[in-house]
Amino acid sequence: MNAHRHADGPQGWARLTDDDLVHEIAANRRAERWFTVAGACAALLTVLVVLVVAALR
Amino acid sequence: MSWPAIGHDALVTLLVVLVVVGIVPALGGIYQYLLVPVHGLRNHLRHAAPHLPRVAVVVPAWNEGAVLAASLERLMRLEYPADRLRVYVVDDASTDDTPDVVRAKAAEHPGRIHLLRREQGGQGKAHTLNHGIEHLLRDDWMQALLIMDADVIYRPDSLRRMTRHLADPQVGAVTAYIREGSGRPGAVARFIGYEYVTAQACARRAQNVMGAVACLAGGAQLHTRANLEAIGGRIDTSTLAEDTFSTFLTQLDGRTVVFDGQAVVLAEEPDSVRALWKQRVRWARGNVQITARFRRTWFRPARGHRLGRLDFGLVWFSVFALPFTLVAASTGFIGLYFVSPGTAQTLFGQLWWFGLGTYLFITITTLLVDLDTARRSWFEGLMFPGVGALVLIVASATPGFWLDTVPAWLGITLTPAGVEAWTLLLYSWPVLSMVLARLIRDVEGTRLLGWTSRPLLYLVGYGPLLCAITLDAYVREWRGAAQTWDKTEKTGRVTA
Repeated sequence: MNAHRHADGPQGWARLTDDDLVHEIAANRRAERWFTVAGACAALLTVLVVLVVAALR
Repeated sequence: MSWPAIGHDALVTLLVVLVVVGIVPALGGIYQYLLVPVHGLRNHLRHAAPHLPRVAVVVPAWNEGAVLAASLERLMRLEYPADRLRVYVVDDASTDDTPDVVRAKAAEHPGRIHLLRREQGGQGKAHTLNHGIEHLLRDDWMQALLIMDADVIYRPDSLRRMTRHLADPQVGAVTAYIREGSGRPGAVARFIGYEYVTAQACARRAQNVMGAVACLAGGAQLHTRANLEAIGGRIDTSTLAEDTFSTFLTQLDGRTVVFDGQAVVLAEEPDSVRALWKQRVRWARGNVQITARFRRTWFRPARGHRLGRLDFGLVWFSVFALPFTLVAASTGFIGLYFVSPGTAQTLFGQLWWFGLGTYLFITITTLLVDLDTARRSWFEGLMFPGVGALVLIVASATPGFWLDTVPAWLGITLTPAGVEAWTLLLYSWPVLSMVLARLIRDVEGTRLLGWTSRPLLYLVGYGPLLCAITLDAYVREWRGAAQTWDKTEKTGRVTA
């Protein structure tokens, strides 16, 4: 569930139940996994480029 | 072996060591970046839980009339229980309309915004904060304290994303991701935007994994009341890095500091090299003071905290000593060029994969970590080390490119003297770039040469510019220059 959906002004928090907040934490944990993917992609691309340059030298 | 030969070999070895010293900070950077993906699998969110304590927000303000209204309005729109959030603006004897702005907002939001005034101001942020904290500790309403800057804009969900970590009683303080948020950022602000992804979104995540965080961002530091009281109930006033001081005290006292990259706070950053120089000299001098004050902490593993771990020390001193290591690398290469040219050429050529790999890995990761900033600052990301350093990387990877290929395109041939000059230029670039960085500051704003400052910035790069500023800060600290708390001018350009 997206917590932003309920955010409609100063009272928006009032509908953010514990369940909503728990869901938000879970969503953020999933979002953090992107950094694992990002790091792996960056490492892979780096190795690829270095190997290509090494082959062309 | 004759004595002259032994002396020659010893000198060559020393110069090679200087070159190797030059790559140590890059190793620290790579280590941090290797921990970023680990954060995706191991982070403090698994210990977080819904938690909405009574939060007192302290906003130190000195002549912040231009930006304060928007910041206060944003605070009032935070998705946080209204009865658990109070804002205290500590006016440090402003001479503009700051008190009037706060009073008007307080009237709009009765009981939620309060004005505290210091009649004798100008002592700096820490003194201003302490005035507010002293007031707040007089009763037991406050369960957590949020210290922020007057010009930052909190996203509606940012505070509750910070407080959720306080559900873990081990946590003493939480910080958020300060993102450069100017509506129409210029070149310097775009560089800063990219820098904040490296220094915060990436480095702080790595530090979360290490279990030792270097600094709670000055504009977004949330302390539990227990932590605040344990570190003395006040903010240190003896250094220029009061936020780092609090961060260290918290961890040395056995509590955890957490960075939540999903809690985003927007800030307007300086868009001129001169303003950046002023701000960063203060920060760098603060770090010198912290390094000295906590000298018994470094590289001394201890129970209860991880600030003494080898990896945290490596990361801290990689940044701290970067200007010196660049000078060491240049000295090593130039020395080798005269003492043992073959060794210099071999070493320079063999380091190509390290230079290229470091640049690519760090740049690609940084751009992927914050795609919003990448859209604004991708060019500054690519140019972060400067055109000069990129030329250096290409020269290392393909030595003939600049000496043969490019001259052939231009229909010229380099003379031996030209090759010699080019080689020395490459070897001295790390130092030369810092000298040129100083020049950028000096010409910026001048009528005749002001226009050269931006092209020079991209040539020199933002990284070497920061190194030059840091070196200047060290010199000022060493000479005991007056310690002033200069305010960075803000205009309210942040857009959420």
